[in-house]
Amino acid sequence: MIDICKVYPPNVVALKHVDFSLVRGEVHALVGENGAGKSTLMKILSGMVRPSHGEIRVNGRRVQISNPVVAARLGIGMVHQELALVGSLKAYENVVLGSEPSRFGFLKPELSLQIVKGLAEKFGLKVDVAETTQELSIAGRQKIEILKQLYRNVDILILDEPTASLTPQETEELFEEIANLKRQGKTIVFVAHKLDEVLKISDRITVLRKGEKIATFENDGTITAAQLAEMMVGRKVELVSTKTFRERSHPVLVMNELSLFSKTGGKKLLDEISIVVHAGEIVGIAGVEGNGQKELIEVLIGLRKATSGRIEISGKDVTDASVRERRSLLAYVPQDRKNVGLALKATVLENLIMTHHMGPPLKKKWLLDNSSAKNLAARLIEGFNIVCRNSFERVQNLSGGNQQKVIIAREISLNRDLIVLDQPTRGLDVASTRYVRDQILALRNAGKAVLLISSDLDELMDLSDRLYVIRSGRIVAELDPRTVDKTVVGYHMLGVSA
Amino acid sequence: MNTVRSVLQTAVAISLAFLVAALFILLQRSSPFEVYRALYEYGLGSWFSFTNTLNASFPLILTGLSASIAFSSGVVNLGQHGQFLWGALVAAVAGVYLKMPGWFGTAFLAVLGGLVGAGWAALAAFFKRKYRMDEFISTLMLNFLAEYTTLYLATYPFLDPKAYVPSTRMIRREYFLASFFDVNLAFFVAVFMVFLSWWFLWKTWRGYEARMMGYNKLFATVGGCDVETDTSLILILTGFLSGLGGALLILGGTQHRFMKGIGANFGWDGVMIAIMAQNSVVQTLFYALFIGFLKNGAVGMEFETSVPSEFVMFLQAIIVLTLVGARSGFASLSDWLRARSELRRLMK
Repeated sequence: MIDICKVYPPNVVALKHVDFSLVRGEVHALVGENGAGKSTLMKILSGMVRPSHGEIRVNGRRVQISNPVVAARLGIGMVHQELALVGSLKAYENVVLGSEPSRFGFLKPELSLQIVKGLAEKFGLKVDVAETTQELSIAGRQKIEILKQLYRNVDILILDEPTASLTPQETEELFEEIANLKRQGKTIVFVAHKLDEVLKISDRITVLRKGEKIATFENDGTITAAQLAEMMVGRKVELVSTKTFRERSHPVLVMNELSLFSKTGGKKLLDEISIVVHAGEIVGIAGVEGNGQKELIEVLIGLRKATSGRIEISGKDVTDASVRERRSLLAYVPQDRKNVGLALKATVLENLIMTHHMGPPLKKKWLLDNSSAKNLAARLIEGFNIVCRNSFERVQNLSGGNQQKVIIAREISLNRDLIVLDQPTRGLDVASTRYVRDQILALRNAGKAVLLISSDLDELMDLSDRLYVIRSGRIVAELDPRTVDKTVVGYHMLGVSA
Repeated sequence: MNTVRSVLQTAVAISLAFLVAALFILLQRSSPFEVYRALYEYGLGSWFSFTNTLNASFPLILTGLSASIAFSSGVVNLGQHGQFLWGALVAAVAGVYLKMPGWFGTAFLAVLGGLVGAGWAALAAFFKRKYRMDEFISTLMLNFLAEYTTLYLATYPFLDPKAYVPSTRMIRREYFLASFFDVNLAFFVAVFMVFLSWWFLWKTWRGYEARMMGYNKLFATVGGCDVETDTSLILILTGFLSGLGGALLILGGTQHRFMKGIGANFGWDGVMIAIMAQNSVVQTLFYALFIGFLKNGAVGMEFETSVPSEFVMFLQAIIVLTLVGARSGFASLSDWLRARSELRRLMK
């Protein structure tokens, strides 16, 4: 790929004159912060996005990759972060979907199964291809996506942040399989932001920063994670926030034997969950995504009613309370910024005063006090360093980090005793992540009760005072992150014994 | 900047629509110039035409307002037609049989019409709350019920036997709404409702919640907004505006009685106006006046040329299409130009 530029309309410059090359049979890591252009570059290579400028050559021949079908014909395939599989089909059916082996127009399911099984064996991918897809773990489904590409005979396999929601054990397994693929002559692009992983498996590394290529170099063991981080961010970074020990006091959130059945009644989405969060402590919830975290939050916020059990916040029974009533007791930073945390087309001010508008000084009988609203917005924009033209700018024009700051500022300034944070640093750059983590620690030190849900195990280990592990809607372990090792947490998440 | 741009867009789109319509007029072997001149003269050309336009637009202002407020709150009230008819019928019938002092009676009948419209919309609110029925469907279906129930009531129980078409008797003369320099008071009431609605949406906390609900309902819910009550309230409020429009048409229009077809297309014109106005309350006033101008001018156009007044419906449709098209066209064009200049800077 030579001199690639990409401008997304109206004026987002995603890539500036980037050169990128792949050598047959290598594992090439592509690293950079969020927004550095990694995904755009790979989407261009796999035909999802067309470049504004530049050319691409495959085996010396100049090509136009106008869509993913063309990319597949050239032997290029990508496994996206969001997996796109049909859950109700068998795994092998998903692999062959779109180009099924058939005879006279009739499908040959046995043949499909046989081919896919052979493929999995050949490349050493450990996954049950005869299983129904939705029954597979995330790691399993990811392997199905990889098989899908292999079935289409790709030579260049692009993996977009494949380890983002895997446990340490699953990551280990994936790395072995990547090594296997490499040995069989496949070229792999590994898009990532976890630097130790990058250093572990890649042959070459390309660093992008703000749309520009900083460097490409051989991973010959001379470079350290800290140096790599510096290249990514452009300056020295301290990744770990320091934490002091604190005595915990009275309980603020008490969830007692909370259960939630699915609508049809059959499945237990939450199974007798009991959680206590005290004032002045951060309690983390670890678990592989999709094991009940979403439901737990919905029940806690009041979007869904629990089938049985009891929730108490600050000594008040809120089991049957509405969202509105609960919001006067808790602050909440949702995982989905754009669809839950913000109204993107509304102004910064309108986003900042949400929930504050429920009480004084903003609410005055029927009215919303305009000057109090403006004061609050001005105070928060200044206090939390939100970069925007003014408080009447639409939130959608802000950068991701600043959007998250709007949410964090709003929720912290509510000054509730309980704060629930769902993936508060997902998708943020290094500086914003650091900022959010510091805010979380400050809350704890101010005596607030903090419930932190995250799929980033490192984050949970760094921040939490106590850690619950959730699996299949059940709390399977309560651990002390100071004394327990990350791999042990991983075992609990997966449900295998050490 | 944004205001300038949107005024410019609107001007271009409307001119374009008139140009396209001119082609069709030519196809009919009429002179577009003559047609548009007649449209202007009868729509705006004299004090008489101008005040007639204002008097023709007050029902449109109210149904347009009703739709705008509902849509901007994410509530799909499409029942303006039915709410309008009920407001008109009840005001017409009560205006025949109830005896009250003049000015009080007029005010009472207007409010009564509004309340009946609100009540009709409240049915949809009730269905939504109790049975989770989508207001999109329920308000739409309630239109049919309203259409034929009001027609039945005007044709049988309250029929004026002397009338040519099914209609009720004329309301008492003392309830007729007065005019002020030829402009009916109903117009001023409608404009006042525009201000009141603006105040509600932008100055009260319920209005804030409603607007946020329109932007993103999940955001509002999680933020602690009282979405269930807000939704019901907006349905009832917008029902009131439509019903008030119907009542004012009886009190301040020209018929002073409920007759078959009196609801005309006011309900759907309101929805169209809201779409053109992008659900903005202030723009709704402007577009309602504009549509009122077209409708009023159309009468004269039919007088003077061989082009039928229905042609204005055709013109309206073209205007809506070019307006909506121009908005997205302008946006993508300016995006594309900016992207290109950005790329050029990168190439240097």
